[in-house]
Amino acid sequence: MELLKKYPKLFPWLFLLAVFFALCFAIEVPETYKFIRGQAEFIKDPNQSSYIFLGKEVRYYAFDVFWRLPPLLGWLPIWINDSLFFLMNEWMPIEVWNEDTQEFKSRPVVLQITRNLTAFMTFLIQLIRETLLGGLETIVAFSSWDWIDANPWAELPGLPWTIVAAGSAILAYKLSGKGLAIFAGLVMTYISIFGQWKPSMQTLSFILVAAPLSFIFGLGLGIAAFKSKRVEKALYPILLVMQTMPQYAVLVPALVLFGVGDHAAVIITMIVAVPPMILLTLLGLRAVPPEVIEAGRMSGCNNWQLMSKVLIPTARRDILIGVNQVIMVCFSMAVISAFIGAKGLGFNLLLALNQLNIGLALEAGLCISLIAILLDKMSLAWANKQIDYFGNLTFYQRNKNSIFFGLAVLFGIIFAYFGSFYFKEGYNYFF
Amino acid sequence: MSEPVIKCENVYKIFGANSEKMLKEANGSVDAKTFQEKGCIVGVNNASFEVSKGEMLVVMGLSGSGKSTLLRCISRLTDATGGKIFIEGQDLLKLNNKELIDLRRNKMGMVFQSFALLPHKTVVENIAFPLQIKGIKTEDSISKAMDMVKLVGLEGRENYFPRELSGGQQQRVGIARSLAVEPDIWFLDEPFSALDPLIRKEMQDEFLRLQEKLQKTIMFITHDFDEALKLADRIAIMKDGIIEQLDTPANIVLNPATEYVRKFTEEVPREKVLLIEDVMDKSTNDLGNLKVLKDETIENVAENILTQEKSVAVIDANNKIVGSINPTKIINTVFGGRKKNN
Repeated sequence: MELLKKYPKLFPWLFLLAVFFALCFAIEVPETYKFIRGQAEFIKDPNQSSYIFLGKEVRYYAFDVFWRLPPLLGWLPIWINDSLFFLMNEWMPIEVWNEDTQEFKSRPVVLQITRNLTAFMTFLIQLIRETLLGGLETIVAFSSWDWIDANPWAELPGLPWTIVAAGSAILAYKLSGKGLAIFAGLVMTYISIFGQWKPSMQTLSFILVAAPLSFIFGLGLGIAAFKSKRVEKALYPILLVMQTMPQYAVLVPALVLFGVGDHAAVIITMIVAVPPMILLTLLGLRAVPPEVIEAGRMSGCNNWQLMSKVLIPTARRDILIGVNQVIMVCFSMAVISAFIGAKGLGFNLLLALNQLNIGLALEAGLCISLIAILLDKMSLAWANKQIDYFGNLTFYQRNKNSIFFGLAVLFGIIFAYFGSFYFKEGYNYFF
Repeated sequence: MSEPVIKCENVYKIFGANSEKMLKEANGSVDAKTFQEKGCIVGVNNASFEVSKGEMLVVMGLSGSGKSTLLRCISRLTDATGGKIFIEGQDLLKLNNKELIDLRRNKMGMVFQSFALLPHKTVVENIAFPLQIKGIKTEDSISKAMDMVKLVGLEGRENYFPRELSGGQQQRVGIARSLAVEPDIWFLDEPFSALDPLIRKEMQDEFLRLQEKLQKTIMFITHDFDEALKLADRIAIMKDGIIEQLDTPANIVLNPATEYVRKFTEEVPREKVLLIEDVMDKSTNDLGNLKVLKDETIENVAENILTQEKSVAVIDANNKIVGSINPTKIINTVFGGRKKNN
């Protein structure tokens, strides 16, 4: 008693302990999940004791609970499973207009929401993918299949690799300089020479959607957490779980909620990539010296200007590390999400793993790391870019990058067009 | 005389929960100790003063004396807990957010101890920043910023980044930035404290040169008494949030109001601070031939005066005799009245 008076905090602990043991003895496993407790439910072991609780016989090994707790909550995963399926398939049906069959259809609300999200993600991915590789779905999304049938000219092929390579080299030159431009050109050429063009572009289109989305969400939530203590406190445990949860464990719920394909992969990637972005944004914003904030305020910034022109640029270094992390996580997830049907290099890698094909695995891996390095360097250069106020530039100097890109597009298309006469069937080097 | 530019009436700043309620209950007599027992810290305690146009008020105090807090109350980087602050007749604490931003964009400039430059912007971009925030076109703001670069003598370095500059140069950028919008009121929060002594002296001279040219209304914060004496029109000495004395440098040296202020003045080389005007007597008939200007420091003319036997005439700029001073007075002023240490 003296001890308790001295340490009043012991009370809740003792209470918790009491509740814990009460629960240990009192909880009866529901009828449906009895199999988890195994045979012990059906054959009474002579060592078991029993008591009657609410009219039911509860058996237990008298002292065993202190060494090895029976899985009293072992039914929980099944319960979660059941409730998730209920949520997806039965809970709150709403009437939805179906475009294809031209009628109202009843659909659970959660399913409808996730499918809409899915459609949006798919659209984004397809937009980039079909720009790079050719395809019809994006155009169809804006028109219809009938329209495509009537206008066959709209069946455009993807961008020729020459244009993509030249474009990335010019972009790299604009962002950083000659070194990165040469590197970008070489990477793209390497990819297309080694026949990894299609999966590489698929992976790239996946990343060009996942990375910016993760960046935006991470930055936004990071800023929200910086501004409000409450948001930060609410986010923190979620972040902990998200960061430590094995990525494979996230695959399954995402599969159930969002289905199979690249869109589900994007969502999982966001779940994994957002936490480091949030934490690094928060870290960076916290590290901004208070005098710099005051200087911004005294310069007459309103809240938006303070955030966008003072805080975020000053915290740039940490935010950039966040971007770097996002890109790295995106590439690692591009491989893991091959398990749930994401196309691209990750899928090739999975195949190579299953076939023990070292060459293929090495090649796909090298492509991934090359694209990753390229994107990382480019994002870094973009963030470090300075505007030169003192150049009295001529029209050519100001627009030379756009001019070169225009020329690249023109020549690329001409090459590809004439190339398609030479290589009538099958393989065409220029597409 | 016209309306004071800055006017504070019984300004209090108390940190901690329930500070406003506690201030009300205290009924005008805030005691730091009782507040501290209740978990509040008194930053500024009943500060009342005025700063008129073109005047430089130096707030001097050791660290933790509340001088920076006072400055932040007046620039409303923190809200004062009690009292009234008027900027050119406007009640600062009643301004809404938009009016406050307007005021800062057009009338206030501030220089910080740690320079507080934006690391991602070059010198000229940093200086142009307040202008761009105001919504001035890029070319105009840059050309204006270039003028400021010239004003603080950083030509040729306008495209450097802050990290590539020395401390003194960085503070020049900070000064130029605070002046870019041509503010009427200029706040300086220990601007030279982070600099080494030589650079500090150079910057002080530079600062005086600028002030002679620009004639701003200035609140200058420092913990260096010598700096305060060198720069100030008037000095406010703060201790534990209370303004102990607010007076001209000469009066503070000659008549310290409290024991605390007297301690600072002990070490001061008076001959450097005091002017003849401050110590002269009334004009007498028995004057020598030597005449000294009333605006000279004692240091400059002491040698001449001390070699005289009679009193020396003190004249003003129009060569009119306004008073007299005898050698004994000089000796008394410079060496007398000090505490005997040994």
